Amino acid sequence: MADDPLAEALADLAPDVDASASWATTGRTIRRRRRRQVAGLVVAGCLVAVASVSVALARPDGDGVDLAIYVPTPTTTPVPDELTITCDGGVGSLSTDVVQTNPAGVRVTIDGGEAGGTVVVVAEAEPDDATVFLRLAPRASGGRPVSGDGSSYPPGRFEVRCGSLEDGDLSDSSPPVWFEVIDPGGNYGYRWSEPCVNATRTFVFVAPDELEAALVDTFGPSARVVPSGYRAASPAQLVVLVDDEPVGSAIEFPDRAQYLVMRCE
Amino acid sequence: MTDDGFEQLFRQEFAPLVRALAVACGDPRRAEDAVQDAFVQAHRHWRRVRGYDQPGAWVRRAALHRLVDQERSAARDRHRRRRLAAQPTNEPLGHEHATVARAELVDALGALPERQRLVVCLHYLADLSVDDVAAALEVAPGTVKSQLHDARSNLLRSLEVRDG
Repeated sequence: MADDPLAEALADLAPDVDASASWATTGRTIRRRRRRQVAGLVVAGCLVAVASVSVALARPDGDGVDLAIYVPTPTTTPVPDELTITCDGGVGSLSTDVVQTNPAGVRVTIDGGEAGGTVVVVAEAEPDDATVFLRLAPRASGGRPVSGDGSSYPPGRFEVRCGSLEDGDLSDSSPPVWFEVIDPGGNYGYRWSEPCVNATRTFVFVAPDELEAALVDTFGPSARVVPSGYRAASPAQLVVLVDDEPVGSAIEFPDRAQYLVMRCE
Repeated sequence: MTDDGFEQLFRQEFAPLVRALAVACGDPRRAEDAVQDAFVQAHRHWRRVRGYDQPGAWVRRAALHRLVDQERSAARDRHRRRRLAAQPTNEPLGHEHATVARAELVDALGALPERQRLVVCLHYLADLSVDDVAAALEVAPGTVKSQLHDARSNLLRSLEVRDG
């Protein structure tokens, strides 16, 4: 095409591009995003991460705790057409390397573990802008939090913390929230603390760049999550507000359970 | 970043893709953002992407999706292309004839349907084969050929007018 007048004329319009300089810029962007992507939740010193979020639980009595992570079929679009969940790490008898792909509506149960252990749960969604709901809850039977062997959770508080995970350390963490087991033997024997959204007991984790403030300050003054039109018997809609301005679309939830909401970007 | 082959892919694909998309959308910055986003996305999924036969094709598709997803405004694009045409090039400054010619070509590009514009820019500026353009745009090679033919006719006409 060297002698093609059209190719020459078009080439004349194209800007010069310095790939080396762009490589440096892209590297910085990748490293920045990588730090963001491992932001997560920490519970009682244990860490679990999700593709963009992490969660971990440990029982107050020092034993491990069973954690169920649900990925319900999303009720908003775009729906992920591929979803991979990876659990890795952990200590004690914690099952590891659990991988499930394409599980529109999957439940991953992490068994065992010891207090202080680290579990990394990674959820990767395709396409990248798909909305993924992760429901984080103690493993339950009939609404009652139970361990894998059927025993009840001990009373106590389980802390959950949001922040950035870098080199295994949690930084920039939010004030901890917790769920408390108040009635080990009874149905719905646990509750989430303030400042989780009261009515829906919902965690919201939003990853896009423009919502970074909402991520870091999920429970802070500048970002808040507002239940919109919530009624107990109907699906709940949540709206993320930053500086009192709604950001993004309303997110609809099929019930009032605990959710960790992640929008991959 | 030590990821095997990622930097090589970047150095191979980045510049030609940015140049092609810059002319296609009339905004070098937007084009660079789209391509950079595509590479950041590729890096996130590099373990999977590098296993593909043509990781470059994946990046091109991702960049095109980014570009198309961005807010589009025909009027604004036309304005940007005019600005691009007015920018200095390797030609000597004050070369009025060249500037007018660039403006005409930019106008002719702007008058093309978006798909034709992308086809012609990817083919001539990113130096992609018809098959590669088809893969990037997720259309049949025959469609690319016909669009390339139409676009080429329109653009050459504008060049002939200018030269005539």
